[in-house]
Amino acid sequence: MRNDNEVASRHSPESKGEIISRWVIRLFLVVWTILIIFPLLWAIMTSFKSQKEFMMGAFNWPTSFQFRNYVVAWQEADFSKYFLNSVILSIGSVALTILFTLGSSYVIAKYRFRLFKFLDHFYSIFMMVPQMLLLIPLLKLCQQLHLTDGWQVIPTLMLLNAIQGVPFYVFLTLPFMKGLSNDILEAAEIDGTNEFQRFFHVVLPMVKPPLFIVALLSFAGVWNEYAMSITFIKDSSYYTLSAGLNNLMTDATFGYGVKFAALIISMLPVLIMYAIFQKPLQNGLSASDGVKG
Amino acid sequence: MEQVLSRSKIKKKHFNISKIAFATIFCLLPFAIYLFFCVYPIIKSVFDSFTNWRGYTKKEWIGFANYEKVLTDPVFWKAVGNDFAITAIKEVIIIILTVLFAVSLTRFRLKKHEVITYKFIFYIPNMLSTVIIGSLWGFVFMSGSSGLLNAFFSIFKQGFSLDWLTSNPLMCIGFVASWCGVGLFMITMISSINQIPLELYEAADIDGASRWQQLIHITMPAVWLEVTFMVVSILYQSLGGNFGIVNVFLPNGGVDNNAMVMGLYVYLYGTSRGRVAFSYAAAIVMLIVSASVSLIVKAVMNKVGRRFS
Repeated sequence: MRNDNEVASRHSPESKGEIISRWVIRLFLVVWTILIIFPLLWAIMTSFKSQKEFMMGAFNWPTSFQFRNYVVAWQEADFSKYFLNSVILSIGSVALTILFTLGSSYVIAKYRFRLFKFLDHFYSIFMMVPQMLLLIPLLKLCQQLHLTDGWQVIPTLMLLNAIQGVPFYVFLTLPFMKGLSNDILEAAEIDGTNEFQRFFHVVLPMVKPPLFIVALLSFAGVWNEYAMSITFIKDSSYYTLSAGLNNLMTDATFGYGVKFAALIISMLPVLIMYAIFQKPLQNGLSASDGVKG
Repeated sequence: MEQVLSRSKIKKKHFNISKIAFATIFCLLPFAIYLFFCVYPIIKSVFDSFTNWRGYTKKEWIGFANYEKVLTDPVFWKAVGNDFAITAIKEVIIIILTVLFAVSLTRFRLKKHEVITYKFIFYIPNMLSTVIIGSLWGFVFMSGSSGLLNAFFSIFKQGFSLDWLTSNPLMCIGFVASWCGVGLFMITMISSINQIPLELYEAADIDGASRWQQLIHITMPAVWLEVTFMVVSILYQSLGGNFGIVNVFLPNGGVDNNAMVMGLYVYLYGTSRGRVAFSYAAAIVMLIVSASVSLIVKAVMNKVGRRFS
């Protein structure tokens, strides 16, 4: 129950009230933890239930673990296809996002030219555009250009996801780019490199941490993207996981166990990624916060 | 002197070919794409909102008729009211929990591994997509004994069964939206609190100030800017952004539109109901409502903040 001696010695000795209040605090923290973890664990448990067991009540432990639910979700409900579509879409979008944003924010940060100052303001205003304002006009534009027909919808969504992220990710990376030392860039310039070489060999290695954050956040963003997926994709063979899941939930041909299995399949990749990279992600989020005020 | 000279020479050559090419490809090209896909459609939608376009028909100029219809539609005003109710629930839950958790994890001398674990867990909902969160909680709120919440209450009262989503949609939506909103704000709040100099608290300890007094007189003034940002961004985001969760929970806006929100209103008219120009007008009204309310709230928060410090 005692804390680190080192920390404790820096403060005044703890009163009884403080110890009690710490336990009250812990109670709140544990309750919220349960509220987050419990539905997820329950979903995992339910994904192994048969339809009959599901109907018997939410707390009944599954008597025979139905791994078949996952097989059905993966094969018959086409989640293997949706999964692949999501993977392709996400990887393409992340690559485009990195290309669009890091170059832009480098130019905005380092070039002394009015237009780029304007771009900074422009992007920070358009970051505030609510999605619902753009969604349907954009849908109509893409339909007129036949960008949503057949397989084209996947590259279209790749581009749209990436370009819509530009304002936010420029905003996120701009302080890092501004912080780059001009001396190094000038030294590289004197060495006779051109701008492209400087960007890829000097700048990019120096901004690896923000690059990583952009990659992580944009991956999670595209993987979870919902509104465009359900409105743009009409042909079910190009569904992403979001669109597929949205469709499956109202599909009566599959049992609840299969629906839960599909739910788990959809959330697993992002959760695994989060578990691996949570530290840099949280540090990056805190760093981005220092700028905003 | 020589060094200065050589530097100014470089500055003269500031824009050589490779720099112009680089800026064009990596900055102006994305900007052009952005203008085409994200700005042009919005501008076009403003013009189209004065027509009777349905997506495929010919456009006919009808002036402010669409706006008139939006502003006189009781369903739209119901949606505005619902949005404000959901936002109010979100504001209360998220602000209280964020401040509570951020202060707990920084100022209450919890063990280090506890802090890391809670930060990890509380951020998990932020990593899940709208449709996953919506489906998962849809099952939690499900009517009958298969729903988690009903099963939980059945422990205390046999056969407890309530259709949560039809009877109490706004509470459910507000809670679920808060459930996945706390993590991100908590992390930024923690980093703000960590920037407060420790000496301030040590001095307060010596003066015999209680934890509560320290919270009111040191922590809150120091993070007020952060709190303002939080309040305004929750407000602004959720006034137009409740669409996702509602669309998963109750795709038609619930019984008698009791869960209709502005985002869903715009979406339904723009897609399945096929009145595109009308939905543009509704979207613009939505933007005006949410932006103006956010600006007012921001001004009020800043005023309160000035009284603090």
